[in-house]
Amino acid sequence: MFDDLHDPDPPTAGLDALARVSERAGTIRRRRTAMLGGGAVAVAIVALAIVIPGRDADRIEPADDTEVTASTSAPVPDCGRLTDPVWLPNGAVAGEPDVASAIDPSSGEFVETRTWADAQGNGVLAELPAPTDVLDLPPTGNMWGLRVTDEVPGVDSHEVVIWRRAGNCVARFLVGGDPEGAASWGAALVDQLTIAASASGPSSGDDGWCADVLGRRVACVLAAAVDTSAADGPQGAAYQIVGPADSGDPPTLRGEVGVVQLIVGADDVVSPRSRLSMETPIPGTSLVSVVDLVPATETWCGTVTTPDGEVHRVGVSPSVASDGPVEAPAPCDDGSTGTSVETTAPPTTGIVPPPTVPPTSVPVGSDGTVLLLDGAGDVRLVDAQGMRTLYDGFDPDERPTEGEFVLVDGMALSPERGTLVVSDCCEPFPGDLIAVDVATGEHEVIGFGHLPAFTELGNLVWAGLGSTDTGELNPVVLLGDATGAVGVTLHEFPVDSRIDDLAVVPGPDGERVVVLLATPTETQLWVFPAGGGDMQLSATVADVPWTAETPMSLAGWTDEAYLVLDDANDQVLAFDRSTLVPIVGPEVPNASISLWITPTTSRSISPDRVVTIDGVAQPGEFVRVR
Amino acid sequence: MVGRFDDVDVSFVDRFEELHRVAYRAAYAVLGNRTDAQDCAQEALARALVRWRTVSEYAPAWCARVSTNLALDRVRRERRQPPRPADAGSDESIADRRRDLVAALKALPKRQREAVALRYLADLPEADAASALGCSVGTIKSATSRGLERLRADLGPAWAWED
Repeated sequence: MFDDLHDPDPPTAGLDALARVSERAGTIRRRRTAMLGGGAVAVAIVALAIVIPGRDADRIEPADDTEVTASTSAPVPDCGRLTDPVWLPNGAVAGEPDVASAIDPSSGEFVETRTWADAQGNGVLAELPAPTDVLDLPPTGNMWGLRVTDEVPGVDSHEVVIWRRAGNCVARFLVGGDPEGAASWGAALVDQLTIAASASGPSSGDDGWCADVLGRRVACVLAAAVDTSAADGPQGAAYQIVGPADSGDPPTLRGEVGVVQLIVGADDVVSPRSRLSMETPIPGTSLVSVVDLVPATETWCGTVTTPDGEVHRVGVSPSVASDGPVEAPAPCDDGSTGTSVETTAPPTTGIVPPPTVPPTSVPVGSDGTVLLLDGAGDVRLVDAQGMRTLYDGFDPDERPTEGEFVLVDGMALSPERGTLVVSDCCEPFPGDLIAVDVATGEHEVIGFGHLPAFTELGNLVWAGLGSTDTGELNPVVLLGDATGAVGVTLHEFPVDSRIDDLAVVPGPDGERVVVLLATPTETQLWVFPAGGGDMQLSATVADVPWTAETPMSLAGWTDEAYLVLDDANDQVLAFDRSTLVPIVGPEVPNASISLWITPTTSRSISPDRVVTIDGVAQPGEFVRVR
Repeated sequence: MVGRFDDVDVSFVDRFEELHRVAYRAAYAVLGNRTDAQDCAQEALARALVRWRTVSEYAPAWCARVSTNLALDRVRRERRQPPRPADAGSDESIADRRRDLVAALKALPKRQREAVALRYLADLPEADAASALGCSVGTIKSATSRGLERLRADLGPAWAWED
């Protein structure tokens, strides 16, 4: 069939064609690498204040002068690019590598290779002599090539994770993270994937370089001896411990952008704590580190109750730590500052006040706003002021044959409707999160990821890449504040999967993050609480693999079901919200390329790009609606 | 070739001609223009090379599918522009048939369109098409059947069906 449509004399592909394909593939790879590196924005710590309750009630200190950044208005704090060479002990001379010179049999060139070893003197890592050339990467001072040497047989490069801690900054370097690139050279790419405050990184006090190989911690080279049990920890320590609560000294509170972190006694009770809070013992002490998300509020107030019943009221205000050491105490909503001792019960749930949503008329869509991605790749907002273009994206129809090309793949409006967050993406790696001021149209890159969604309380949920546990490029769902500062990883998916869509869905028992996950063999629906927790549901949606050119997409929800649009088969699938069992869904348009249904709205875009909102077709050409 | 393509997986190099042939065939059936078809084929192969470890098991079908979709995208992008000339010597009636077919293909649901394209534009076996689309052979059969049925309905009996 169709034989007459085929070329009767097709050309033969020769070396020139292969060269073009190879060059183009290299361009794609480099672009991905650049996205990984460039997107690895330092989500470092703005050390705001240490509010010391009790005896030092008015004393507020920066956690470490060197980590205080210039402004909390900047969403990307600066830990600096941690670019020092990797120093691991070689077993003989700590911090010095073994250096070997030899003629590279493959190139015939004289090369010098430096090798690091673990504490027992076993060779572990070897530096490639010319990594940027070998790996075909753009020259940069932030990358090194590393390869696992023969002394650790069976260790794949991606099983090596390099950590660096400098004061409060933790950098995790992924080795061999690009499954399609570096690993194919039998080598590894070291790149700065994330820099984040992390309770799951090197243990406190590991101030320097560390490496995990196959999950085994290779002895670290510490920048300085750190004694976390000291009454006054040295500058540069992971945590500055003022004094353990169980010895009668007050606990220490340090606020950070997006995170409240408290160092308290193991038996102290911290309140309020959200369901996202994590607690990590501090080795060598009777203290624990409590890390909890602080959403987009300027002040956090709470209490620490010691075992003897003393209640320390503590507060921190990120906004006061604009530059350098904090001089002003953090205000609490009752007017108190710093810390005080009281006996009133603290609030027990929630750490964010509900946003104030101004009243507005409803021009289209019964919830008052519609987000549209138009045929030119621009993001438009429809609200009481009409339709406006807020973000100028690439035109998907004007795809260049070479060079940068990213498409808007996600858009979310904050509950108070003041901020639009869009993401661009080029599969399979996520790109940038861009915040757009709805009032002014000004925008800035706030983070690294895609598919943003706001919670009702104004926190941001989005899809990212990179496991905090394994260092691999697992798809992850992150929760942070509206500035893009990462709070916690809500969920981590297998490395051989891809997040195709994400939404935050309200419900009577709390908000749920709904994720459409593509795997090599099928598409799955995952549901878990936006507030964190162990509950989760997952189910197979269809046998649509991640290689499908048109992935499935979320299509909204009803009171009973989560909805998925199967564009390939022109159908909408419904899954019971409690069980994810397929059920009969609502009546929806037969053919849509994008669909968004809620209990109060219905929006769809037909294959010819016409958007219909609550039954009324709108002028223009669109490709995605929310 | 050794040395120049040291960074290209050997198995990809070994299969390059085969993959190019399949990808080109599918794109040409849609576009009717050699230059454009070669562009689509090479883009598809470059994407395959980037994710070679993932797609190598079903590379011909994967390349054909991507190449077909690139070709259809190219037709859609050029819809407001003057039509690209078919290659010299090509039959005008064939160009008309191709235009009609492309329009009908674009109207098909994606799964049906890809199944038809893989089976009849790239001439791939059902098993290969099933691998590329991540579904069963039975699904390919039914999608192809429904797609052809709808194509016949859209194109009408006057369209020169050859089977």
